[in-house]
Amino acid sequence: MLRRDFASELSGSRTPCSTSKPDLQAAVDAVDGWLDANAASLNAAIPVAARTTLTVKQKAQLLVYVIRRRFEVS
Amino acid sequence: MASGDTLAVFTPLSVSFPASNYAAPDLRNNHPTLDFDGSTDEEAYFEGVMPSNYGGGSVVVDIYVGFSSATSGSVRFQTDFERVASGGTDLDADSFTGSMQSAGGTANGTSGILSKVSITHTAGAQMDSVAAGEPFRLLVRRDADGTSGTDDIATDAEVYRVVIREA
Repeated sequence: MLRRDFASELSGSRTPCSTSKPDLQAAVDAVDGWLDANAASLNAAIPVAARTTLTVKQKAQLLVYVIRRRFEVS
Repeated sequence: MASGDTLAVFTPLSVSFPASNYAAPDLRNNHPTLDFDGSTDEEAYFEGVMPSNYGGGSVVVDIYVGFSSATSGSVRFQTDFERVASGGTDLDADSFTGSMQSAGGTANGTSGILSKVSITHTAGAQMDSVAAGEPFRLLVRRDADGTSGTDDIATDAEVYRVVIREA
């Protein structure tokens, strides 16, 4: 599903990408696994004041915002 | 007619759609196109009439396809015929042969340069026995899940023309 959504977004913007379906799926799985493995590290990187008040979902949203801003594709 | 002679030409503006999983109409630099998804098999229909001078032999369906993002990889398309003869087919139910013919193609190194996928239908059952002068419907499907062969392009395939010619 995530691979499909990602590919649809690339298609919609006609962003060049020739990564094959199997390779793209492997990339999705790898990133997903990396997040699992590094969730604790990410949490620890957040200053304690925010760490203890933000919910898990809000921390995830924060990560999405930071990544989107850093790698914004026009 | 002779081998190679054109029998029918369809553009994205002459399309009709199934109720679900249909190719999406789109524009690319003002060229009408039909976007076929890279993950889900999607279809489009083209309605036509077989020319009265059709020789009755095998035909080739040429699908002219570009790609939204891909500059390499393989794509797979399938086609099927539905004869709509006078006094024959009831339009209230689909009547395609159910036996898709298929072929593959490769993406050009430039996504906006078209590739051609050519699918042969032998005369008779593979064409639902469409005869000269008879109305018909052509089904075009991207075999995105690769049932009939390799389709490893994750992003959209864009169909710009479909041409039927004598084999």
